[in-house]
Amino acid sequence: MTPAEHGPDLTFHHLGVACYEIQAELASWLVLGYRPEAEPFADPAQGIRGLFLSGGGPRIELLEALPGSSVLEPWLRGGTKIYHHCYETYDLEGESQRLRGFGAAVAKPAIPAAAFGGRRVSFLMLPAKYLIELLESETISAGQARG
Amino acid sequence: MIGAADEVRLKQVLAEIFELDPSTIDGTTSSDKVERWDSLQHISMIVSVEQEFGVRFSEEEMSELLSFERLRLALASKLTQ
Repeated sequence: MTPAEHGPDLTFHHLGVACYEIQAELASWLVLGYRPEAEPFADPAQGIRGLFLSGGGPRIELLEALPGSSVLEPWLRGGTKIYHHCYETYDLEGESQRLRGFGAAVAKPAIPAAAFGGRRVSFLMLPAKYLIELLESETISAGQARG
Repeated sequence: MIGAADEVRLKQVLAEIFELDPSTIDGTTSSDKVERWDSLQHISMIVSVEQEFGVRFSEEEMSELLSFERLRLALASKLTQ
């Protein structure tokens, strides 16, 4: 059965929001009813610090650059705050290939992510210029860890 | 090498992404000389070039296409395959 017949293996996970400072941004989400899910995390491999929020809408990931990192600068300079959509998938490579076939380009190949206990993430830009994060499903990651 | 018409199309793509006058794009145009040519706009440009010419660049190729000259050569290689 093709993805067109049963739908893609993608489950929405969160929206990524670029910030200069998470703490400064947080108040605006608190007033909307959002609350932090845990303490902020740092991911030196991606050059970011992040904080997940839950509330009345989609899960939000606030992100700020670690010192010396410019990874968020292009988005912040362009005034774009909500800059990526993250989807969880059981088949990171397969979904990445499917999106490549649709014309997406790989912005960042798969790497383990601190925010997800080492589960891999990758980023692709769709032809419409949306940045998509693919997050490897927990079940698959656990299976790989067991070897 | 790519033909003159394809070169015009390639310059037009770069001009739109990087907000340049197409007539100023030449062999010296590169990421270190164009202010808007950052990591985000680079990926955006790659997506647009792939769409415009119906080609695909590998991740390794993408990381090396940091000038108009390299793009032109890579495109020539793809279009003659």
